[in-house]
Amino acid sequence: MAAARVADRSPLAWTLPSPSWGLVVPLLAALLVLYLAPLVNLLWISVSDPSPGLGNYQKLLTSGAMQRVLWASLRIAGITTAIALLLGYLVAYVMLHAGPRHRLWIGAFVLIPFWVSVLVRAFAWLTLLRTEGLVNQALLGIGAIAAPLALVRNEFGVLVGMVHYMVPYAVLPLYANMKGIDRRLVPASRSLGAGPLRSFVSVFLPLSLPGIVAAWVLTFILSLGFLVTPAILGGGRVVMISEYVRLQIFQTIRWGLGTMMATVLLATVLLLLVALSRVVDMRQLYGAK
Amino acid sequence: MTASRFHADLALLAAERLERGEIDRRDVLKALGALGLAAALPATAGAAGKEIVVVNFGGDAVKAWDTAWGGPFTKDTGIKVTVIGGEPTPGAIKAMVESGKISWDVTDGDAYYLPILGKQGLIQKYDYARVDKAKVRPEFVFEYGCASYLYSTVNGYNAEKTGGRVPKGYADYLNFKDFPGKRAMYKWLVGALEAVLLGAGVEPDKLFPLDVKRAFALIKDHKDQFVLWGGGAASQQLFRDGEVVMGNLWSTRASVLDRESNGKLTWTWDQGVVAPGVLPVLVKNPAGPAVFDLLASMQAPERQIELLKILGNGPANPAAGALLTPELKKIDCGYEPNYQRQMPINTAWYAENYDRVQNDFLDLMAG
Repeated sequence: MAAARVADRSPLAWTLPSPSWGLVVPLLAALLVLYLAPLVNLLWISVSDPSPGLGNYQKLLTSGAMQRVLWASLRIAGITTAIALLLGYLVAYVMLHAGPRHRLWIGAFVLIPFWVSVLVRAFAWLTLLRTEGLVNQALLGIGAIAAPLALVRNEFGVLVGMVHYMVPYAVLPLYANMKGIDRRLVPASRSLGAGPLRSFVSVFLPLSLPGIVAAWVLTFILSLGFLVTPAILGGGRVVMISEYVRLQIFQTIRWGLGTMMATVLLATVLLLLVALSRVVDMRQLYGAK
Repeated sequence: MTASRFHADLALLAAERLERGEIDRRDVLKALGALGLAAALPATAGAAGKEIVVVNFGGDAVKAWDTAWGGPFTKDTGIKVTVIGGEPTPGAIKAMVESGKISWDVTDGDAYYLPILGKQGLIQKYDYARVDKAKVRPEFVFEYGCASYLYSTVNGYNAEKTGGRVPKGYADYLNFKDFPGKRAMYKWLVGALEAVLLGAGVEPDKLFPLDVKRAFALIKDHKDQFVLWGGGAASQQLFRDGEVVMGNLWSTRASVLDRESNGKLTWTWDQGVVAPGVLPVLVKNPAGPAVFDLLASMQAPERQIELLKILGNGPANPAAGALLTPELKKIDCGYEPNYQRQMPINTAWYAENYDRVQNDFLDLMAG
């Protein structure tokens, strides 16, 4: 099969790629200079500062603190992704079935927070959730609670802020995928005797799986690298990788450790993508096919 | 080619003579103008075209440093001073020096990381022939810099919530019986462990070297009682919002809170931790040695008082004390009677231990 395909091509096609590749050369060059070169430098610092070798990586194996940072990042990103996907799925599903006018409104409510700076949003949540904030005051006022709840400056606050940030990132790929699902299939399933739940679980849900995976990849990877939201809403009690890296680079000048952690973050993301590409067709996932 | 080299050399020569004071600036410009060369005057030529770039952490400090320090220096010397707000952290200094494109002359900084930067060859030793050691308290003079201003991490408190009771410095920091409520704590360490240890009854003169293990254990015991802040504005907000009853607060912010709340949110000088604001000079700084003339000019008591007026930073020059109005005496952490109630930070301990303890501290708080 593969051999036959190779034989189909003229020898020239092997030596000269399609001229349309020329159009992406500027982008590739920019990526190479602005992205790849600093990345190589980053890797280099992680094995050369303060002394050559894998000492920094060894520290990750022995340091409980660094492992906790890594684990906290994975855990928080995981929980954020799960909640954002669930909420995003509901929003996308409703959007799909809403009338055009209604859909426009939902779209606006998804997109407008998307444009608000992450810093502004974090401070807005802080104002709402703090001990003497709006939420606690309201709950105290109606007598639902006797003492203010600890809603922020902890992991809960971080999750609220991150989920809020991530929901649009989940909605958009999910909605794009759902729009491509043949709308006659669910009614067909119903007409064959399946109930609404069964029609959803056995027909719609499996068809929306590529959308779920695409949204999962996007939200999880973005969540792993969060800096501002955990720093503000975590009140120092939630340290994720980015803040740890920032501390090592800017504050305590341990560049070797900082770049090592950045490299670990990058490697984690790449490994995830590779693992995923074995399960699903990535090209199809992002519409390249 | 040769002609232009010659002209350049001529300009250089004129510049050198200008610097030695053999000719004045007008003569140079006249001569160069005759040659059509005015623009060729090199940047090193005395005051002409020279600029000193000063970087601090932004906000009101940009304008304040310009008013108190930059403007008067320019008036005296003709050298332009540009104050920029940014994030001149130790890491940013390292990044700039290693990139080879050094555009900052001097930055705002803390004393304890000067030896670390110095050892890595990123900053210069101070030129004490120009900057006067005698105008600074001896505990704030170091190889790579001396105090340009002072700031103190004091125990601030909400007088309304304490029922008018005044905490005895940090000695009451862990006294949850008489002062129930949360405590503000500085995320970047300076003053945090001191507060906890003093709160546990450690005598101020036996504070250093800090017993980190004990401090960490104490923090663990009361972990939910501490609210961390990472910057001045955030600390102010914690007190304003009533999130905390007392705790770490810079005296600069404390005086602002005191003024705006009519004394409801205030502070005590007792056991405050006074730290020097030291301005490290980058290696191969573009303006050259002139930067030390600027640093020397900043030691003038009037200019230091100007900064105190605008920002609340304590003058590093004790001579400023005699010129203070009663209102300024109240907010100046360097004013002798206030200073006596506080303690200077142990810079050597921080230089030795900061990076390790800071990381452990964050781990403790996140754990």
